[in-house]
Amino acid sequence: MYEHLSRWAIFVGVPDPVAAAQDVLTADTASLRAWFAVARRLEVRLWQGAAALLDARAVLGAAWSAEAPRHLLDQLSEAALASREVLTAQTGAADGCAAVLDQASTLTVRAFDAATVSLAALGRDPAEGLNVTARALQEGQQEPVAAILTSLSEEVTRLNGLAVASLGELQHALAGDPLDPVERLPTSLPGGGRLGTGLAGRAAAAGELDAGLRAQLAADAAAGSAAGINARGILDAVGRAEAGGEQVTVLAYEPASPGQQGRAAVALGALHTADHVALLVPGSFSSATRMTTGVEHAAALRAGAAVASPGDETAVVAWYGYDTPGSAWTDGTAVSSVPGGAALLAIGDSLPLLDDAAAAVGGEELAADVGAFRALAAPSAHFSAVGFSMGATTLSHAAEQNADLDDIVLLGAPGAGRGISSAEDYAAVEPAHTYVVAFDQDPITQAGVDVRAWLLGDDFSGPAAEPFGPDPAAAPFGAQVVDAETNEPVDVETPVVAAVAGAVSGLGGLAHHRFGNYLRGSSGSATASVVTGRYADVPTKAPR
Amino acid sequence: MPDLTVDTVVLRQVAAQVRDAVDVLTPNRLDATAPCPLVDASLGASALGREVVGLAERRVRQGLEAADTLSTTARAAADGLDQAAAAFDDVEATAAEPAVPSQLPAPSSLPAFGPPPAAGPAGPPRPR
Repeated sequence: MYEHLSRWAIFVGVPDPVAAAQDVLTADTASLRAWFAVARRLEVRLWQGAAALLDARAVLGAAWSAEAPRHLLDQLSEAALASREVLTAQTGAADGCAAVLDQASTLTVRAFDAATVSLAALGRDPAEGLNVTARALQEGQQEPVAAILTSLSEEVTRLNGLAVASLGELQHALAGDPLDPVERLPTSLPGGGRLGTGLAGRAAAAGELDAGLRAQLAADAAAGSAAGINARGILDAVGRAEAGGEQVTVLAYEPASPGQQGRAAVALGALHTADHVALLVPGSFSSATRMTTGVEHAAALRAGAAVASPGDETAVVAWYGYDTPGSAWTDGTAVSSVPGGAALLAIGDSLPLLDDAAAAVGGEELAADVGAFRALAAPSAHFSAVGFSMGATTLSHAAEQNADLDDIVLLGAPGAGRGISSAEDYAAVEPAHTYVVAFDQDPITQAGVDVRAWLLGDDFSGPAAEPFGPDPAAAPFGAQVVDAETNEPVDVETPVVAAVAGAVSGLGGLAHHRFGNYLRGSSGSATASVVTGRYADVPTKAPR
Repeated sequence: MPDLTVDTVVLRQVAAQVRDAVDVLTPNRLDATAPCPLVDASLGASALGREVVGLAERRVRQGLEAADTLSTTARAAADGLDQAAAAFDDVEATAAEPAVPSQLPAPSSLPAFGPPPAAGPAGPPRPR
């Protein structure tokens, strides 16, 4: 409708006012109001419910002299009022924001119309061709046209600033969680008996799952086989996390066996009440047997999330749910399970390093596990996953297979996986919610890794093939590329990892290609911001 | 063992009042199942706009869960009060010298809604 203003602005070298007004003009305030009307009705319910509970509490004193029942009703009414207070602030802010956005939109349209009229007074017709405009500008209209459009652009920028400020106020008001007061209620009656179904039910389900899997881990740990090594490694990681003060829930465990490295997932933080749940997907050379590293990464991300979004609760799941290539070199199970054949097994375990086959299978398992973990978390919980290296490729495959995730972060990905051409291919995750961090110094994220894999592998058609799929940091992929620098290079953890990785890839600079390196500094902060839904705090840059 | 003062008729009335609170607190079905009409770019394509959309959806859903959890918890409390009244009636029926209002010892078999008694606190101010 106002394309002529864009056209003329570009012609006279003024910032396009129509593009600048796009967010204001398209803001869907009707939906914002409709959604918060639900919250308004909740406010009324919480208010009336609190009043009814207090009425009951007043009579209860005359019926039963025991203190505990009265105390419970007090707690319930207080929680209802506290939740209502949070919602009241949020509905007020939403109404205010909608009003400002509507006003900004109206004034923007008015400014566009006024500019069109002013330009018409100069003889400019919205339907005129570019040659007519060009001739008029050459004949002395450059300055008056530019003045009108400059004034318009400034007014649009001012109105857009008001809209952004109101969004910021709403963002601030939405920091409060109306569920928090309820989460502090007891989960059982003073004399026994369970309260509630949703929240308490989820807590019970997670607790039962954890207890069952820990019992199985304890039983397996006594064995001398690969399963024993694996179980002891997982229990060690769990014990260290708990010693560090973390609440730990074992969410998945399948014992290792000869040729299978086993599966495990451990949550740090209260999954059933968390506002945000993030899964960490490790890369090659990792395994549940050496889960301590993953648990340390999970604790670091939880700490980062607490900084990124104070007041929100974040649970982080260290997920070791797929057969990671190269793990036999590092987890010790190969040596114990195949005496005399350890080297052969380790080499065999390294062949999947040459393509994304393990990641494709792992993606299916990850998508299924995300669904299972969702059932243990609050329905409103924000779910994300952070994959590193082959784990990023695995995560990409999971996103393509409809993993129920709100955001994904691909760190140091060798590729997004074969068959995936762009972020548009993800079933459940939007390109705007697909974040990529690829350090320039990280050789694994460069095209050379594909060529080397082709040279070592045997099922590719040529050096142009992409055994790990396209680079997610490249422009055609369409993801949000995070503007982050590598941290101080760290030493490679063990010589054998360095030797194997170096032999397979022939690449230097692998110190930059570490999960821990990506979870620190600006990359770590950006990852924590995505995990907590703080998108405005994620710096992005132009893709490769 | 300290004594409890119990009036089971009034106790059942209280349970009914708590159930009234349950009815009020339970979100209506339409609200509880309503899809959020906001989509990712509803408030603009900026990172801030997308962040606010995500927060808005989450907070209202958390409010719904808060109300639902409160109603479920209140329902369990009402059931507990009814069970307590029934248990007190049973004890009173078998007691040698019942009195009204009852002066009953707290039997271990009763729903132990906590330790007895002493005068309770005034509680929070009633909403106005």
